[in-house]
Amino acid sequence: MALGVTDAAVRDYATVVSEVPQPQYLVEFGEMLASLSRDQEAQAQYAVFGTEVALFQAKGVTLDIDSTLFYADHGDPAKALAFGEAGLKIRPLIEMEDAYAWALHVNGRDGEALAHERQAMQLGTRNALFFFHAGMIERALGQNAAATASLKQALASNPHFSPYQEPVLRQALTELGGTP
Amino acid sequence: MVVGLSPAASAHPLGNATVNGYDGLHLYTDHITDLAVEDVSEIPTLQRKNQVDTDGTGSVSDAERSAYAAKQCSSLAATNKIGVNGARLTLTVAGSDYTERPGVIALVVGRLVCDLVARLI
Repeated sequence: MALGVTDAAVRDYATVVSEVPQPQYLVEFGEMLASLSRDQEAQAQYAVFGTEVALFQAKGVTLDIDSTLFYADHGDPAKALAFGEAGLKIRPLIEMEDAYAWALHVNGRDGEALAHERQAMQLGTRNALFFFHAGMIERALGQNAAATASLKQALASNPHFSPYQEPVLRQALTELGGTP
Repeated sequence: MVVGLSPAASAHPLGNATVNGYDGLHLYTDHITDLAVEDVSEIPTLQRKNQVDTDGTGSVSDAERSAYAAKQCSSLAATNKIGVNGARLTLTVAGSDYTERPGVIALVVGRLVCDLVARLI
């Protein structure tokens, strides 16, 4: 996908989710389809993801990072926050800090979001998604120079970190006056 | 492989994301039969929903089940490899059936049964 070879990427992802229907892969595939405007197919993947969330919960397992990010990105800020809060208590990994930060951001709590995003980045991990989240949070707080730097770092570490978010990032960078 | 399920069983015995296959071969003097069974647990059954519910009504009719069974069994007949002395035999579909039954949390599980035959002479 990072090389822009779309048909092969869709085929490969379809194979992946049929053989290993892991929550993360379902969301990745769905978001890739959404970025190609194949919305009905994307919704089908999200529906399987939602079913897995329910299935895991019926067995006493709560998905944390995947569900926090998914509901933050797909229109359920309340659920994102709930999953984020619960997840952070059980598994305070840097990915969980980042996901919780993002959930706080979509709930308009950007001050807290930035604190958690800093926690996520404390090991110096060059994670494009973290940089993207940081940039969007900084932008919401009016920290435009920091936001521009973060968003550029996201592209520098992996320009194709998310076909779904990439247009959002580039739009934000354009609006900030930086060259995407 | 035979799996006995009590009516009250609440979990797919082999996991909710598995697809399990069985091929029961019977050897005769002039032909081989392959009872090919595919047991599809909750998640893959959900993933295959559009292939079964082709008119998208949300429920699966008898006609849809038949059509799906025939299609899947044809596919299995083409991909299952049975050979005698290194020579591959052609499998044909003598019968096909697909049923769904309740799984966990209002999901369904699927069972495909194919009667495949390969003639030796």
